[in-house]
Amino acid sequence: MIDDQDLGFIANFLGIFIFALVIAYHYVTADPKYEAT
Amino acid sequence: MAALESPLPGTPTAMRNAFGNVLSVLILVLIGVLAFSIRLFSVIKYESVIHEFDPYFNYRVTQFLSKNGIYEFWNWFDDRTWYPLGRVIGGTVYPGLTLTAGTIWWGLNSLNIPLSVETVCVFTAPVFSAFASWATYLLTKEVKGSGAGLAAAALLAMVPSYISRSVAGSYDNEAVAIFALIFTFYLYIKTLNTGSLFYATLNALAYFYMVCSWGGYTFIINLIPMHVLLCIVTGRYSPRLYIAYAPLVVLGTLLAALVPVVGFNAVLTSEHFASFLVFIIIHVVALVYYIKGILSPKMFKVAVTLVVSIGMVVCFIVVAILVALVASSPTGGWSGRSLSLLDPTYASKYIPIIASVSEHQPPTWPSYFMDINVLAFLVPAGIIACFSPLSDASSFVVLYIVMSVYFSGVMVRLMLVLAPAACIMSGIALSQAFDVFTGSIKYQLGASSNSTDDAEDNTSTNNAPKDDVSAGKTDKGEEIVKERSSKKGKKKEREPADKPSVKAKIKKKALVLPLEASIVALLLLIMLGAFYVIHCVWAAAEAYSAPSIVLTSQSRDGLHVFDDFRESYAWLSHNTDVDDKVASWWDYGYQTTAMANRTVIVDNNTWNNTHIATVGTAMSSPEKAAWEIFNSLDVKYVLVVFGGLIGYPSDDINKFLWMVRIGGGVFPHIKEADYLRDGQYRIDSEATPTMLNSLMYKLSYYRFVETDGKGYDRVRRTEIGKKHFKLTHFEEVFTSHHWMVRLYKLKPPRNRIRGKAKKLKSKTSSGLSSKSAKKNPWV
Repeated sequence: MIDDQDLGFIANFLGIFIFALVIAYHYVTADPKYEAT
Repeated sequence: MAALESPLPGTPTAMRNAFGNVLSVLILVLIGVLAFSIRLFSVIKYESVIHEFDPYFNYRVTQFLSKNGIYEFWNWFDDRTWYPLGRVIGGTVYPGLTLTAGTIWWGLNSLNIPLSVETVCVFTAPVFSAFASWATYLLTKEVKGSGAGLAAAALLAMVPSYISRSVAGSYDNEAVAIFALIFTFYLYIKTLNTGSLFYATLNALAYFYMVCSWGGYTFIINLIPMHVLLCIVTGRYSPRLYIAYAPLVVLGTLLAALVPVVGFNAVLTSEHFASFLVFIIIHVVALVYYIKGILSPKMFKVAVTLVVSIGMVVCFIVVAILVALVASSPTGGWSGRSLSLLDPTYASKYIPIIASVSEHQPPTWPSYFMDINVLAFLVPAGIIACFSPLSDASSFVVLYIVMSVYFSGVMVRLMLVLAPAACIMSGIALSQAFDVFTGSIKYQLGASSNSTDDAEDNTSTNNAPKDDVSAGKTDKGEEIVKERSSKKGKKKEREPADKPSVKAKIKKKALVLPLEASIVALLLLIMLGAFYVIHCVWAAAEAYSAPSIVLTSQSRDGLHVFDDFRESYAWLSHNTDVDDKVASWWDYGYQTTAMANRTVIVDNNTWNNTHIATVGTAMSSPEKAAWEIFNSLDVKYVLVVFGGLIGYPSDDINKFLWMVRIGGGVFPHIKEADYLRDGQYRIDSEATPTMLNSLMYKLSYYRFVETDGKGYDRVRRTEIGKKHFKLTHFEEVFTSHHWMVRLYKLKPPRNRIRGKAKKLKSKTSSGLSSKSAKKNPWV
């Protein structure tokens, strides 16, 4: 059974992971050719 | 507008968009999972239980709804509250939450998923938090593109301010209302961006859901007109604005009037007047634009002069009539809560019942940091980002944040309205920063390998907005901005694509940062995000998950659980007659009816100030006078909450001054000064005789000295003033394990025959007047 410490770890990990994914999203959708002019 | 056209399949742009879309769906799913799971600490640390006070009432209503159906629910007259007045529940409750949970419960049972009503109620708030995060994504996407939307949604999923009202078990109106609020704003902006009547209709329906859910709907019906007015004043009027606003007012008001608790208030109270005024203004403006189109400039000038002079006179008359109407109503046409929004000191001066609620107090600075954390620092950056470039959508979110910051400063409860605005602004700020840094990294990494490709693609990208890094993405906000751009801007757009201005070149080059600097900046931003996440998880786990009905404390011996409330309500339910009336301060009314199923005199609805003042007066009076008041209300038991033994600060002694104030507001013989020694509230030997003889003091501290021999109060940190006394008109029937809840029964009046005999005896012996003997038949 999951306890509050496990949930805390999962929530922390998920939160930071989502932040990293949001940055990855920005990286993926950034347009390098636009910047190159 | 090459950048806005959909890219050809197979091209790098199409691949990028496709990969981006997949990633955004994944992120949104994870955000939903996080929003749900971060709110489960209360269930894991405690149990699956309804929290606090108001949620118990909502739970009871949902139980009734699921048992008796919707028609019975609308007609439900509850005789278990506000005895002897009762309460028409169907006509006085915002039904959105209960109907939502009831529908979910019905749907699940139809699918043969046999969840109890309580389980559905406990998990409604976390589920709607996920919805609210997704609605935030949609709203922010309309304003500043998908990237900002994802960042804002991630921030909202775990913002402590919202968590405090939506943990599992917190079954209150705000749980669904915040989703409805954000979704209504999204549909308004969507209509504003597209001019679609379809979205305008959906917007009115979303507004209807919001009206069903929470009294805070007046925020929407004032904020949107303010934005419309702002657009008109700044010369941003367009048919899209008309479509976004006019159907909302007409349909929305009609729908709002269908909700029994609102009814004709939707057109009669002054909270709604701003929307009607702006409704008239937008029609006048639309007419002016139409006439301008059909008249020559000279004729138009003449017409304007004529109309303005006549219009001024008419306006003056109408405003004078309105002011007279508003001023003639008792509260100046505004309800007490609304007035306290405009004048923060209003409630504390005039309406103690509003001021007595802790969530109606102004917040402190630390509570901002606790509730929105790093967002407080990111918001200014987001506001600046909204101004470059300013669109209708971005001006709306700027207005939203400004208004919500003001209102949150008035009432700590409205931090909840600020939280989504702060998340949107911070999401925009973070997204802009991510855009610059990730774009720079991508450019720097790709510059060496793709240098040959750059030249040939110049032609397709030069038309994109010059000052926006995210312009490569096809977001609607940009489209609108471009359409509204000045003639000068349009001329610029028509310039040959292969001749970009020197200024634009300089700007673009300035946006590309060195690789190392970008990586370091991104790492710092991740650290900032991580700090926010850790704070939010800590707040969810430690600060906001306590259900208030079960308390815990950690000591050297281990975890202590204080389950006194449920113990007492269970005692009431098992040991008293089903029709017995229980008097307590209004805080515990909802819980008593929901958990003990006993009739109460006042509850958390606080609709009748006189009734609450009567209970307040009884609690503040000496024993005999209190007995008379309670007896006249047919009360059998009195419940008091006492924290002096275990150090529980939210007890009745700490709330007692509010009882005195509210009681004194209606019954002038109760004076606050009589309960204070030199302006200080004391319960020790220095306390005033009025305080020491009040019913609340006696019921709280009766036999308290037997616990430790001294009568040391752990909340007030002092020895009590009056230690040894007996009760004459009340008898103790139950005290919970930790003395948190104490129940007393009203003694029956002494036999009248004995009183007569006594009277005769006294008449013959001491010659006391018959009047005084009659007045005191119990002694």
